[in-house]
Amino acid sequence: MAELFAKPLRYAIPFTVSGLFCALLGIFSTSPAYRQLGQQEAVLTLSFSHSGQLKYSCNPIDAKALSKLQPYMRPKMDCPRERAVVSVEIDMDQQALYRVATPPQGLQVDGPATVYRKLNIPAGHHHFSARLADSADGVFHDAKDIEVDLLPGQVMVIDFLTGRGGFVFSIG
Amino acid sequence: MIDKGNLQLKPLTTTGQKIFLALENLFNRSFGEALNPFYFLGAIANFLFWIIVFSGLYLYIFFETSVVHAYASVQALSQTQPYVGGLLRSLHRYASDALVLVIALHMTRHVVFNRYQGLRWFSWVSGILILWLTYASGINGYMLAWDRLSQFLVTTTAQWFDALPILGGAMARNFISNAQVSDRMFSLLSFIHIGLPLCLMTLLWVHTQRIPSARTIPPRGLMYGLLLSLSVLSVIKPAFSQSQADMGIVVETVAFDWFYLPIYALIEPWGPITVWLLLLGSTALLVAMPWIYLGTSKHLKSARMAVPQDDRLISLYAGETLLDAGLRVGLPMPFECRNGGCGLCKCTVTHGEVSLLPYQAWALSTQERASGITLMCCAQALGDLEISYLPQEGTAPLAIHRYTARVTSLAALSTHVMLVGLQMDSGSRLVFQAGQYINIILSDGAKRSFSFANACTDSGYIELHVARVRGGRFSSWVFDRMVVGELIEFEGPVGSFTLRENSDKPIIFVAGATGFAPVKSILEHAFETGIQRPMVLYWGVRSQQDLYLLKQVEHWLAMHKHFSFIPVLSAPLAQDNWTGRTGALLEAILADYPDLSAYQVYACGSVRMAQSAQTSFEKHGLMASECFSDAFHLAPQATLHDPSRSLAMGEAPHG
Repeated sequence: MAELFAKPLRYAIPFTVSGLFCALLGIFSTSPAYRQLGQQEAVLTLSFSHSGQLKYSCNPIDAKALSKLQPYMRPKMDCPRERAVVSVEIDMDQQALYRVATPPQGLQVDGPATVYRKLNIPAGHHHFSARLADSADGVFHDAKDIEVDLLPGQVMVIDFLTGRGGFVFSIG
Repeated sequence: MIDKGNLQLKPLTTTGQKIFLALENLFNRSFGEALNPFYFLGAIANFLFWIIVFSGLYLYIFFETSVVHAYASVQALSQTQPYVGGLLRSLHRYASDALVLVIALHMTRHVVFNRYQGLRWFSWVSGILILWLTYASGINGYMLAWDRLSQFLVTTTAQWFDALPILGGAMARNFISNAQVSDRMFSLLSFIHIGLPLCLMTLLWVHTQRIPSARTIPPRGLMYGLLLSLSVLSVIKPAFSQSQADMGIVVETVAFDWFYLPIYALIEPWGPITVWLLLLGSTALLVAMPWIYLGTSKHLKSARMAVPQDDRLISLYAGETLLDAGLRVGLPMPFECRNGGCGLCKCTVTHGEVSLLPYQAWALSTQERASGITLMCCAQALGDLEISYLPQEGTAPLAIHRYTARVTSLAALSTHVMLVGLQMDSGSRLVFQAGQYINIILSDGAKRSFSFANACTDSGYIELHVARVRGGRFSSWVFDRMVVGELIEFEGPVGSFTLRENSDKPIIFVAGATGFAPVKSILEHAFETGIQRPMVLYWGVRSQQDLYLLKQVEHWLAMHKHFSFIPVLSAPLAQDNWTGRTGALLEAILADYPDLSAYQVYACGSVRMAQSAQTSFEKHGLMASECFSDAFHLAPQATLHDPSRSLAMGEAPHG
């Protein structure tokens, strides 16, 4: 058996150890704080899930090719499923802020293109332009501009919803 | 020399050991080794887990799984019932933080002291799973409070998982605005927060399955001290929520739990893919560690440990401590800390060598080490060995497994030796070492010992050579009444008269009469396993008819060039026309081998013969550690433990 310390020390050490252990837990369970945003910064979140246009048009299937198929499996048109890459450009105050070209998801490359991007930007008054190209020709058919005042910490979300006419800007 | 001294470890682990040993010494001198938290890290982690479970169950009663009420219900715990709900909430958090800290210490200690390789790989790998599940549970718990930290965690987690190709960015869209967050998310998070701890609970059980007599509850003093400390901390610094989550606002800073969330601080600056690679890479490295050579245990091999006092021969796994091996088979070995701190688990190594993991200097003195005493919790075998120890007080004698077998053959090998063939009952399997024996249990519970006369096979066949003993109960039964098909009850296997395979010395087998049986068992094993050491068998009997399996021996002679055979007859009959060796068996051997210093001897016969052999052979240079007899011990100079057993002859003298 180990030779024990004299009594005051023998009791002081467990108290000190317990105190240090608790101090360690108490301090590092909340601090130092994690900085996720700079001072005077706001957040722009670009998030959309949009299916691009079909990349190729439908073509009629000739009779010879049709005859090789079962009678109940003879579509008149061959429509490839592959969709176009969706490209988005965001400008802030006439300066390019973010560019992205997202391919469709899925093994058949026919799913929606999904983007989520969080950008920390300076708070204040800004002009944003958003453009989207979702066809094989790469032309930006959809575009929308907005002027906003963003407070520090405020979140502006840029979404693209076809059912709501294209770009949707929402400010938290 | 009994032990090889401390292992030569790499500088990093050596430094780590010094730090741990110094801290543990400090704690031993203040807490006492029975309460030293370093010796109970696993048990403390288990205790913390149960604090978390029970405090969590209370918190869950008041938790509302909805967007609107989740935050308020958690805050209400601290505000409306600070000394119950608030205290338990804080306890829940701090116990969770302490759990991570203790697991980290637990793992570090095992790495530093090299207690994660060999048989312990299982606990190590399951421990890694426990660590990650603990993290997942804790992070998931922080999401439930639905404050700013929850907001940060759900959005960052979603982004992190979205980086995986399969999700492709769809997950984070659930958190782009308050409208996107639904009550169902809280139901899902709650479900996970119950499911993960249930998985943890199962894993904790699995984790200790390969650790014999694993301590899962710390000493009471430690439990009370820990609970008190965490409660005091909970009162001094209660856990509170940060402001309520609002997806429309991102606050500059969040109070951060660095025990659980350090990896979250890396996701933004390093990118989610890098963090995934870091996590998966570190996990793969951790999992592979037991098989990565760190310069610590490559010299350790599987071996056997004979424990004569318990009639046990235990197969040791590479790197397994003597204590773990003994506890694994249920030996009543004394222990407390299992870490070389208390000095309770001392044993004497009577034969063989061990290497010692680090221990506290006062737990084992230099004089003790020099006299062959070692700490079982720190000792790893360097080869076959034999030990003795003082069992825990009040422990019952160790039970030996009982079996039944059917007599499948009875063949008279000579006028006074019967071969009894036994077949194990279907479904039961007996694994034994060549040279061991069984105790046949008679109708009144009396026991008769017989050596196996064959090597262990998968077929479950057992061969015994039973010598007729005048008035012997069992031998009379065998010779006069036993019929094929009868059932026999026996216990075993026991004994440590087995081949030491970690030596390359030539072997001299000394068999007196039916002492041939265990020698035959060992020889069959040696031939089957391809052992090429020179082996000579001296079989001493009265007359030629007593060489009851001569044809078998001649067959071995023809098949194995490294085997030779010298029969010695003490009283050959006239009709034997014997031209071979005659006289006393031991004298014949000594005439052929005047210097036995380079040999290993296995002697089996009468007690008197075995004892004489040891004395005579040692005078001719045979090392005491190289002489083995079928007397339940490897040390020939020791007193026989069971004089009632007639060595390999079958019938006890008083039978």
